[in-house]
Amino acid sequence: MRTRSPYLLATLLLGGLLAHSATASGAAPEWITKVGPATAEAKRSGRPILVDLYASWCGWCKELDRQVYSTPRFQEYARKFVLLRVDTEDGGEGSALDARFEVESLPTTLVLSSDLMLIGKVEGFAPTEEYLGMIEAQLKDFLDYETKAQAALAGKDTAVQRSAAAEAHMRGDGKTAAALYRKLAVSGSVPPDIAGALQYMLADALRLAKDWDGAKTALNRATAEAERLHDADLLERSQMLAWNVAEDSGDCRGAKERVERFLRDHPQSTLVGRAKRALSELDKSAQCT
Amino acid sequence: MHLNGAPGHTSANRMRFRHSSLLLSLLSATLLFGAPLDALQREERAALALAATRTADAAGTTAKLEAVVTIQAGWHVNSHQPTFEYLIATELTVVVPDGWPAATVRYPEGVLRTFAFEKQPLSVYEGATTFPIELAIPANTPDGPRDVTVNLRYQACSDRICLPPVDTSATLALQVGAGGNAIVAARSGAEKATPAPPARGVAGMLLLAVLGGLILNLMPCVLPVLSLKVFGLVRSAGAGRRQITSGALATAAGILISFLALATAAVLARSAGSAVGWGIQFQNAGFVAFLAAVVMLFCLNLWGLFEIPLPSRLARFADQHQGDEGPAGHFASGLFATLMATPCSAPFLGSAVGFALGQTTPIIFTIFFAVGFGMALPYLSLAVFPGVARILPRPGAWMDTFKGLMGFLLAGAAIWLFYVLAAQLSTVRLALVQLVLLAMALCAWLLHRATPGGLARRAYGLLLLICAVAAPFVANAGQERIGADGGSANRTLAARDTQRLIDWQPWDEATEQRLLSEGKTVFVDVTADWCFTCKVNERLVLETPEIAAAFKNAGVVALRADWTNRNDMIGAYLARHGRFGIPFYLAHSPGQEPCVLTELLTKDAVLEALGARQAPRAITP
Repeated sequence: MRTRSPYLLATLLLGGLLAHSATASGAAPEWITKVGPATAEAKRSGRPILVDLYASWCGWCKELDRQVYSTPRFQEYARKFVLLRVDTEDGGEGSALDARFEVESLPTTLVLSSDLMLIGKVEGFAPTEEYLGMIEAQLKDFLDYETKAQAALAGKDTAVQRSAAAEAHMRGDGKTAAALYRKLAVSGSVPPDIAGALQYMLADALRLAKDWDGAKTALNRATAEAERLHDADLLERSQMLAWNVAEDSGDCRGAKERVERFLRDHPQSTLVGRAKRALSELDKSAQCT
Repeated sequence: MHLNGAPGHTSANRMRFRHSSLLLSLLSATLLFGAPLDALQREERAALALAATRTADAAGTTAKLEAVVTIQAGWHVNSHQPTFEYLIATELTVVVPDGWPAATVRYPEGVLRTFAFEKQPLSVYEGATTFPIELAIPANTPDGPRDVTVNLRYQACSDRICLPPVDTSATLALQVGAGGNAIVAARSGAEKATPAPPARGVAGMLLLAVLGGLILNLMPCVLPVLSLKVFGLVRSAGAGRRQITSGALATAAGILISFLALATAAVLARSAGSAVGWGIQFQNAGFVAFLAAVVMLFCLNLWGLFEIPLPSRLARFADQHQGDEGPAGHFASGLFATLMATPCSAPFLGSAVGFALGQTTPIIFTIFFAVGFGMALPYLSLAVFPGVARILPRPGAWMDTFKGLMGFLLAGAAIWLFYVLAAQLSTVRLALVQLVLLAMALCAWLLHRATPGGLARRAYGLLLLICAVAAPFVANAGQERIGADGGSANRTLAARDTQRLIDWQPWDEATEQRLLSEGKTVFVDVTADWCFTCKVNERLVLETPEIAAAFKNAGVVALRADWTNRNDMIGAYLARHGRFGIPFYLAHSPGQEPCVLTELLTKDAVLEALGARQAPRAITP
């Protein structure tokens, strides 16, 4: 759960960056290969995590390692990060990060906060200076985003709030996204025919913020709206989100029940494939057995 | 930045919301972000097509199939024997009907390519690659169709990123039975072609080529040749139909042969691996200066200041013919007409010929032949209907006036050549070239006034020849030529577009990739001063308030590559997108395949290319 305000996070982040570049010692930074130790180290040191996503067959990943990561320039720069390296095809944590951040090509570099919020994403190989430039640009964009999100929350401009909400949601900053969606919902600027969709978005943002009860309440509203408007798509998607919320909150049996009900109620849905895959994943999950 | 652009286009493809687009714009950005661990659609960068080589294959024989793998421009896959062990080889597996022996796949050798940031060349497949497959059909197989499935596994990379391996497959119903015919010849042209926009078929291009050839006759550089030729034919032939026919046929043959020679040169240059493109001869300032000299001499000739010794005198000599030109003379003037057409062909025929150069050898020849045919059409029709000659005005004193006027038309062509040279040469060097040409004109004038047969006449003739030959050398020599260092891009861009609405940035591959990695959509315009179609597109389509506003709203970065001078990076870039000529326009959004627009640009096409790529905005109630 995120407890710090975005401002605080930004301050910590910058502070961490400065402190660590100042106290740099001679040893080359080490790559951690497990998510848990990396987030723990990020929390402890206040540094963000730089994630190198790779696969064994990826030629440009090897070039990135050879031409960028092994340079003294990068190793010096990298002191402001916790370094995490994962194989996107390990069928475990690496694959999960790959899916969660919609990684479509390799190499991809992510910069994440200690609670796995997306700070930046760089796709592909680039020579050292260009690569570092892209990372820096992403960090700067993130600080801009934080300022923007705060201004959107404090202000009344609904257009600004909408775009800030979309970015917060995409970054996995569920708390900010949810706060913005809530403001939008009461602003009167949202047309009635998409009020249900807004509740759906709110539910998903709350799921990211791990506010399970809030997510369920918003989902109930979304479902009610979908039924009122006879909107089959929204209804099906809301039900899919409901099983995702259950699964994320650790309620494996509840999730399984919802998926099974979904398959019974909507055998013609375009989401049947997803439901079936989810069911087989849940069956394999240790919590369900 | 990347993040803003990413959600819109990545999720939009997977979204299927029926109702309002407002809702779509709200939801598409983030709806699926949270949907965990959903197997993402693998991005496909290669297409697999199967073809039989016979309409039917008899039981007991070996059937030959072809699997054609077409890889998108800008991407490559590892060959069957990749350079490094860890790379995933391209693999085809053939699933044969039950009881049939395993098929054999012949893998062609990969192309060795060196990429921008990798020193060691990699063995890869690019563009369209054909994999021959042999399949033994058991003797006891009853007649009828049998399904043969080919599974393809490949792993694609661009020059910066790699995509996960992809499995794809295609199935062919192989006809088993006696009496089949070979079909590969009819099909190979279309199938083996490097990827070209499908809407633009070979037939359409042939039609364009014939039309383009026909229009060439009206170009300022050719019209004088054509009109004088036709009148000459009428005059020399008198009333003799046969002479008109044979003269016209010889001229047409001269045109056709010279176009076939051009096709041969293009094919040879391509197989030698040099950058081929139509109009690239214009990147050579010496060539342009040479054409300027030829055009000027012809111009002086039309103004009555200079007698061209070619082609008629040489031809008469060759023909041992008394009096007027014989067939060889007409043939030579056909060749001459083609030469004169060159300065004008690049701007108008660039598209058709650029298309041809991306095709197989037979198609290249067919298209060049079609251009020649179009250009020869007036002569051919004169040959078929010699009676037409009677409709034409009778030769007379008016022809001198007409010749003089045609001379001014040619002078216009010369101005165009100087315009091209101005972008290639420094001001001083351009003035030098023009001085040499002026000296040449002076010699022509002196030659004209000198007494026939005198020594002075020979001297002037020699000096004239020296000047004509010197012009290309003067243009090519020296250090102050711009272009070799790439500095020309800025100069020509700055000089040209004084009132431009769009803020064009100079293009290079790295800039494009960097902008893409920053999440920006780019629009690339490859242009050149000698490309007339490019100029028209820029003036009428791109540099308009409508498009400028669309660029601004969508946050598109406009990049312009100037191909006025030789630039291998641009040549390679075009080739990777299956093009060999300009104009070339490309819209490219991060994470999407680049969209290559047609040569004849329309505002709608540009807006569509950008509109489809625009990241969905938040709801606008």
